[in-house]
Amino acid sequence: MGAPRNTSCDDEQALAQSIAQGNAGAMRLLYDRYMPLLASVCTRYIADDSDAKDVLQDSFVSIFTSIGGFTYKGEGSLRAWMTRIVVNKAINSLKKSMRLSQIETPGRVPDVPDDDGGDVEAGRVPIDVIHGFIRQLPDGYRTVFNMSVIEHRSHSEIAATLGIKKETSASQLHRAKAVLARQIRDYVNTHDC
Amino acid sequence: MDNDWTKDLSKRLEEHRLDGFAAGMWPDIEKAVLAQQAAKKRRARLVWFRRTAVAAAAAAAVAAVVWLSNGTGDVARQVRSAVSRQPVASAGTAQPVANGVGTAAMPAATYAHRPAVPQQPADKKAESQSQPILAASAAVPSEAATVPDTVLAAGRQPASKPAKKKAESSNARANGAYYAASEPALSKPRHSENRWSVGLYAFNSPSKISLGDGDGGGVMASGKLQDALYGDANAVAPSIGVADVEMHHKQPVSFGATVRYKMNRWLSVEAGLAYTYLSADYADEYMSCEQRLHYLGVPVKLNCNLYSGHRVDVYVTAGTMAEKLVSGRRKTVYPAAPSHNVATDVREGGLQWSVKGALGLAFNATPSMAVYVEPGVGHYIDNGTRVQNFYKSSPTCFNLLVGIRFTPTH
Repeated sequence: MGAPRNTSCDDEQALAQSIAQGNAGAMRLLYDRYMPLLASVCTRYIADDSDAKDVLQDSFVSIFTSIGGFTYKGEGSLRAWMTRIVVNKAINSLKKSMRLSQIETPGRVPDVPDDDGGDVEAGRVPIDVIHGFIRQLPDGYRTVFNMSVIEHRSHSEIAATLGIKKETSASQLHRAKAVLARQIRDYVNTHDC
Repeated sequence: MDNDWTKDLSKRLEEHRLDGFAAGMWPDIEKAVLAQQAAKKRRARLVWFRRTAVAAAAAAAVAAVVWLSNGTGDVARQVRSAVSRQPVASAGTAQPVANGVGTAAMPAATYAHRPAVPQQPADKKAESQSQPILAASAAVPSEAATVPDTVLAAGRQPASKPAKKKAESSNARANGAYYAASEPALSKPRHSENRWSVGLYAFNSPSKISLGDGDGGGVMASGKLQDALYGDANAVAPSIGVADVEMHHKQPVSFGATVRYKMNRWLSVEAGLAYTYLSADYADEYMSCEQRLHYLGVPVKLNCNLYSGHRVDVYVTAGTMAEKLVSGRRKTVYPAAPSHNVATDVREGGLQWSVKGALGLAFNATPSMAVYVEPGVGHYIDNGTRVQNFYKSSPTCFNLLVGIRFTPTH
């Protein structure tokens, strides 16, 4: 079904310590427990399944080899640390594949009609479907949407990370939300949720 | 209203799981991890052995050079003591120590500091045997009647024979006579009896001891937290996650000076001042980040002597050090967006504590100077700050200290 939601503080810390000491069983436990979550994070950034699996593998190798330096800071800190590694690997992968280099190029951004402002009943759409909608967004929209809405980064931070202008970041987010809003409404209308 | 749907969406997506996506990936991940761990262990061992070998070779070379340079005098004294127990005839104030052993001709250079020894009436045998010595000594220019310090130091008697030493040394100084019988058969450098000594050292941590390489360890900070971390709320936060995760922490470079007090034959305590430089960097096609940290610390340690030999001392040492970040700077450059370039001061509250243990090898080049190496293990105790540095990426590591210790003679 998926990873247990409420792992105790002791579990996370003990797990990290066991892995740092070379416990292979602890590594497998961490993998089984957090892979579904991290796969969701990774595929939100990377649309291609093959590329996403490469990033996930690279991320887990980094996690297991770097966990000796991880400092436990409380419940959820291990998850946050691993999530950050996956996000950074995903962004780096996008940068290296030049998928983000076209964000600033005029004419490359799909022309999206402005959203008419109606209610977006995202709660009526299964989360798996929304996850799929996000994966279908253009690379720039998807990356900025994830960094802004999910990672809660400011446009200044996003611009600095991606090497784009702050205004471009804001524009990409606006368009991403417009596309998603339209897709969510269409789904609600067609599936009688 | 517009933000509400994305806010709710964010919460739902944070808990979303994609089951089955990574089916079959574990064997490849496990294989890659094991391969990387094995490679890092091999590199760590290789670096460790290389550096230890270099340090040991350097110390041995220094000791050998000093040994050889002192060896000439050693050989001369050994020959003299082995061949003759008769004193060189002097101005009459000295009482020759007759033991029937003739005196060999000595290199004139050995007596360079001694005055010309006048001929003295003596038994014929002694006189005839001492003629070569007298002839050699006569050729020596007259100087103050002082025996070279090295000779006196080498021929220094144990404290248990003060009276004999005083008589012998006073006679030797008065008339340049040198009583071979009073010398030990093998002259050797003796540890200075001064309890205090000072040292200068260089320190390095060649490799980490743990499963991972530690690069990127630690909890990653969010954008706002990053500002608080580096103390500049107005600074544009750099690519926080990427730099912090991928930052490459270079080995620390440390120098210091210590003062050691020898409590007894076995134990000594040492304290001093140390400077440590930590640097780290990260670069990709879109950004580069550099971090430079400067620490000052006070090391304190206890040394326990295991073996004290002719030229070598072996000991174990253990201690602690408290360090304070006195200066730090972090610069992030975005070639594609120069307006986002940022430089911030790095500050850290509290102290950085560490504990270290090592095996020490000291090569006593002279009675007042020793070269020492201390290969060992150290652990940096997490101080709870969010400054990412080598201490957090490699908390437990092998280290190597190389130094020179000076013990002033009385």
